[in-house]
Amino acid sequence: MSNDKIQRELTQVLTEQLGIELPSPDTDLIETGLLDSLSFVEMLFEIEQRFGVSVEIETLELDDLRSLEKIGRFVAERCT
Amino acid sequence: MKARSSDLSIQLYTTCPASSTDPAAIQRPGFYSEGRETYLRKVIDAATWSEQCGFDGILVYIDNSLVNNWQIAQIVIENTRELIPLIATQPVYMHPYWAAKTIASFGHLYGRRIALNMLAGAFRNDLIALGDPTPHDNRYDRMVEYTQVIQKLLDGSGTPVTYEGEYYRIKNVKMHPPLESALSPLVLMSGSSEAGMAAARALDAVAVRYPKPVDCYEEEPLEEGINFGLRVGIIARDDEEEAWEIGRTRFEEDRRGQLVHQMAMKTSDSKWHKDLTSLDQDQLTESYPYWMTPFQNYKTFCPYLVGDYHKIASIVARYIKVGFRTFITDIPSDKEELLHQKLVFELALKQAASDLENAR
Repeated sequence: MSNDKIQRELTQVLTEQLGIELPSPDTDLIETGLLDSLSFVEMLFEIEQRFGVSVEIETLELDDLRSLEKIGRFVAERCT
Repeated sequence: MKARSSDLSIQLYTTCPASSTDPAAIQRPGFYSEGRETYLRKVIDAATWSEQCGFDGILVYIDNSLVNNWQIAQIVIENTRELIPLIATQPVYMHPYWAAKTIASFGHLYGRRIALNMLAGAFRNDLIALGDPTPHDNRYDRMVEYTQVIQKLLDGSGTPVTYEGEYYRIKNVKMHPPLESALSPLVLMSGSSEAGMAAARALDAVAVRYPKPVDCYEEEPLEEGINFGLRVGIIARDDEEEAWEIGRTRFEEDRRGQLVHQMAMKTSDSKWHKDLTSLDQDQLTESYPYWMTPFQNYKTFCPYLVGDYHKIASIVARYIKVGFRTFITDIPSDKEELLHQKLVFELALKQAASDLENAR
């Protein structure tokens, strides 16, 4: 799955599931407060469901998931 | 609850149903999104069942996501005759003078004693959100001062109180209404870390722990001179398989819950949280049937003992024998659940009293 397609699906998750409108793909979701801890978990859950990847929070680096761009890369690496 | 043939006694608390008003929150048994009559009914039911089943008190939780637990405690008091609300108290939420004033007012209005479950940290994110970055051990120091201010204001002497601490200072404060000394609050607190144990010593508080398997305490005895309590869920029935069936139905696996649990683990500086998480389900033996699924799926904050009456009672009896005298069980699903727990504690107390007598 291409990074573009992943980002499109992720945008859909953020908009429709979590009600988050992103100014741009490199917006820092955590720094801007767009994602709180519960919506962050909801986003991880949706990533697992939609892309069939498993997320282990214990080994997760928060910096890998700060923006749509970074989340796209994170998912793409695990989809292959 | 007291053993019939000896002086051995234990204090029993259940846990009050909680509110859950964030639509994104994980579904948890005993947490209710509906307000008004629905939630009030759940609170009143749990409180009256607890009293009817011989429990001494009921823990009323607090964190940033919940309804004000002092108001829930008042509902508990108004709907029971003797049940003690065990009120989780976070120093960041209000000044100790106001906490003491509220306790004194309960005494004045209802003649009811309350207990405080002092929190040093609980959810660190809650504190950060309130602009409180105080480190773990300092939070215990602050909690000690906070509790001491309350204890001095409510010691029944009626004399003005002056307190000069690092975190709190009051000068010539007299409590109105006065509280008779018999109603001075009991103090419980989490006590797993060294800072927590030091606080328990300073406050003469019951140090409440989330249990390790009981043989850990048999091999390494609890510190003398401190009262210890245990927070543990219990599902017991005449038939072990029936107990497990009930447990599995009540606490289903939930991937969202697992993620929230892992997230809480990653951001917590709580020793008990880490200790409990490090208990591997596979390492637990048949004779210590701790069930971690409810905890690991963010359904509750304690491990569960699941099994038949005699098996669970024999484990609880061993906890009593090593020194635990206060037990806090989880939110009850119904009155029947508490009757089953009552039976377990009666059996456990009888067995512990008998074993301790025989050992003399």
